Amino acid sequence: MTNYLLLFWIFFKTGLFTIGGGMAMIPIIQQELVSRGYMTVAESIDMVAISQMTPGPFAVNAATFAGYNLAGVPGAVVATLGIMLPSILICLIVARFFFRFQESPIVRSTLSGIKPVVLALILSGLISVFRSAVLPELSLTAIDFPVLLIAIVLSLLLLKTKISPALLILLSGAFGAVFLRS
Amino acid sequence: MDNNHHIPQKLSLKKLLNIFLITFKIGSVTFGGGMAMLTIISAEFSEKRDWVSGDDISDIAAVAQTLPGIIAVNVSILTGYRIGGVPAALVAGLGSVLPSFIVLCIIATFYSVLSDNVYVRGILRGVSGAVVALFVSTLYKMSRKNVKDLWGLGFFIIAIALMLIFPSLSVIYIILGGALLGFVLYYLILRRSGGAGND
Repeated sequence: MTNYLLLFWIFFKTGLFTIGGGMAMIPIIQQELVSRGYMTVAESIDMVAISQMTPGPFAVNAATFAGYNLAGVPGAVVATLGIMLPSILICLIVARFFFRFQESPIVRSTLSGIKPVVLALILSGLISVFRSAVLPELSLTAIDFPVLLIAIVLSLLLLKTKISPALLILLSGAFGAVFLRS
Repeated sequence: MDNNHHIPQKLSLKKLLNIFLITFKIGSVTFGGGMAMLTIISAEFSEKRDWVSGDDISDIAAVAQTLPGIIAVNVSILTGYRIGGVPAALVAGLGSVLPSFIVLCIIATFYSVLSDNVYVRGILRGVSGAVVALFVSTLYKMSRKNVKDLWGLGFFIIAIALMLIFPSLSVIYIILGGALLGFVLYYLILRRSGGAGND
């Protein structure tokens, strides 16, 4: 794919509508790229894992990775610039004119409407990665039990302990290399 | 309010280079998103060098999370701006993402060559369980912060229903719909009636 303008636009939109952290961005990227056939859901899971394991901002990692897979280094440059540009423009405007804007009742009430939608985005992301990782054949008779087990154990560890997500991903990868070769 | 808006200090080329090197270092060692990055930014630019104040850092934390866009990029742009205006903001933004960019390009090269290898497939299969867990923990941690009342719960249910029933409907419209309804409900309706006595 070498339609750089489209690639830039997809990531610009994604950056613009990412509110409250990188995980909320994943369903948007999935919708834009998977529906156009540029990426499979399984590849998007790899993208999330790799972006979490590497240092730096998660969203930038994901954009660079997706852009590179679609169109090499130029694709990575275009996707990364696209996802950053909304941040840059909006921050420079806000920093210049109204640093205290988040105390405005209009901004607060608008955000009160957006935040539940962001939570719904995370849930839809969860449903989509769960289907692809645990039910790859979309049938209850073909549950990937080892993967389900990893998901349950790691969910508990992430919620109950302070072990870093990057370390847990690394360990589950090592587990997979040893036990889940197929 | 105006003391927040101080005039950026005089900016030398050496200082710009320093900002780049420090943010590059921060970008190479930060795991775990924008707020983790802010902790290191605060240590480097406020505690160690006193280029921005502690008040600036807490303003930056609040604004960076509220604005659309990538929180970590918001943090570095806002910090850079406070130190030295637009040039410093751009340099800080570039410095903080460049390590990611380089590392991910290298990994993506290997990924496209190795993604069919049985060991790599095994690793990725194990890791896919971890990604499910990441969504579970994000969902849990966000749930209390993002849904604060019954209206919010209603917004959440409608939004997830729309996403599941109409998978091809762009989620961007759902976000915009939430923004508009949030403004109408919380600003125009509840705030007025709350002002009348029952908050």
